[in-house]
Amino acid sequence: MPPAAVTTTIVRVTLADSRGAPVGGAKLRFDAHMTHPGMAPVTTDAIEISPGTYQSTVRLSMAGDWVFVVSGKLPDGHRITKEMQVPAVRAAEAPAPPR
Amino acid sequence: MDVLRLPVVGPLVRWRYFRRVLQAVLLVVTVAVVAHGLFGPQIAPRNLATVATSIHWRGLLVIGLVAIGNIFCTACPMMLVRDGARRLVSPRFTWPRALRRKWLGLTLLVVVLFSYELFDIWDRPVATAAIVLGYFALALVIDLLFKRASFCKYVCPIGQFNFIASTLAPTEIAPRNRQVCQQCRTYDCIKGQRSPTEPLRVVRRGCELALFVPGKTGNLDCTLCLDCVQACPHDNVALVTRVAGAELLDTNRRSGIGRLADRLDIAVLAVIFTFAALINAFVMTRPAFELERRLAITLHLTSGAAILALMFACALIVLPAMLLGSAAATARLLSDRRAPDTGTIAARFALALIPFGLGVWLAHYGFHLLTGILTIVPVAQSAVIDLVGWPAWGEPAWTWMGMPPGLVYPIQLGLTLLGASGSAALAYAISAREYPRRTVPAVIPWLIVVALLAVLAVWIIGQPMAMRGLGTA
Repeated sequence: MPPAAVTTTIVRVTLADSRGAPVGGAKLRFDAHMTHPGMAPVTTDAIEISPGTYQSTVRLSMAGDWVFVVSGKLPDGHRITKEMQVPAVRAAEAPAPPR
Repeated sequence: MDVLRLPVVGPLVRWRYFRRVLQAVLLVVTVAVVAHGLFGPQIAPRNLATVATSIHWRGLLVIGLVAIGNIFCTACPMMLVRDGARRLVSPRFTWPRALRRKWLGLTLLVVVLFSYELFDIWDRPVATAAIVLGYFALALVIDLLFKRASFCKYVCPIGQFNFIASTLAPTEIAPRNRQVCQQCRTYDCIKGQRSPTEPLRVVRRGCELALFVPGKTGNLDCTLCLDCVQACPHDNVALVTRVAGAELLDTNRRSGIGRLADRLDIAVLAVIFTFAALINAFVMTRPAFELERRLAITLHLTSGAAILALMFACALIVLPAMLLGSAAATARLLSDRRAPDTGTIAARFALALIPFGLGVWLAHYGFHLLTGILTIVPVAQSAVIDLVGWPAWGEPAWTWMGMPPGLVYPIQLGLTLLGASGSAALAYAISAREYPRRTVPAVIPWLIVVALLAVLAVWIIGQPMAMRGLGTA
């Protein structure tokens, strides 16, 4: 499901080696930037919820184009960075008022 | 007060290599910006090219203009490169007489502002780096072909912006003692200082922008290069403090410019400067995206360029023509039947809009600077990692930002209203000069124009910002 602004979004990342085996024990950080410089990024550490699967809970501050960046260190000390364009994030629909 | 006589600051600014040091610093920054733009991560908020230019350079440029003067032209690194290249290649031509007005420069200013929006330059580090390189190349080609500072005076769009804004700067270059100038027979401030042993060799350059200090008024066309300060053998050139904007009321002929009343191009540049401030801020807001969407539907337009061009045409041609035309026509009716034609009145009062325009530029660029001033730290840390492969300056502190937008909003409001007040005062002063007996009736239409523009600006800066991707999605 595409992310929406000003509401909780769960970002899940799966890390695998070249043979497809999950890579656990990495220290990953999740950053979300707007494509326009000067806007506050959303940053959080990713938590390993199962071997090779890491999760972050973020709250995007504004509608618009975003870039998600996952970076960190693998157990063997190598640094990794992976980015993904997330265009046209829209504001979350307000909940319907109670009848 | 003469800034050049102040302790510490005076000797520093008069130091022969003062400008060179400033230029060298900016050249190093430019090299870093271009290198990171070309080879660094193509994520705008993580790249020096986009962060340093969109956040810091733009903001510091407008603040520098009102706090000091045209200091970014002083420190322009392009002129450092050009001066180096001119040691190898001497220009042979003089700038064509037909182009010795601001039309080319102001057209390029509009092209730059339009392209910035159309191609989303702020989120393209490679494009930003390419533009910087292209700008250097253009300056080099023009100034290696044409003598003096042809690029600065007639072409550079940033320079034209700076010239107009610097009419509100608190300082200007002026003769310290006019009697000394009257007795001078060498005119080194414009011709350059010659070697006593080789009279054909210029050892200190004179003004390359054709501003003769004794006849110079104000900051128009002055790049604050300080060449005249260095060249004057009588140490008679000062950097004096003054009343910002007063030069716009001066009707006398001025060196290198002529009479302001005869310079329609400068009046149009003032109008573009003012209304571009509004459209430049407006296109970042949510209502702008909604307007784009409606225009696309109503006019069956599928081209984003056509829609943006339409919005720019409305903002820079239709709206100014309507507002200034109707104000000038009304002022003519209310003042004096012998008053000049409507176009002439509009051109004279157009200069009064500059303070408002500068207020909006300050509010807009100041917002980005203040809310993102610390972003240069993590971006520089990240650039060092990109360069050396390990966090020599520490892990990037991506949460370093700046002031919360809510705190900046009152500052924006204050700057906008201060600019509008300045425009109102200037309009009154122009009216008093043009119509001494009908000052108040003649100024009323202009006060209404300033008030309408101020309301529009306050509405724009109060809008929620919306980033790209919403207009066509």
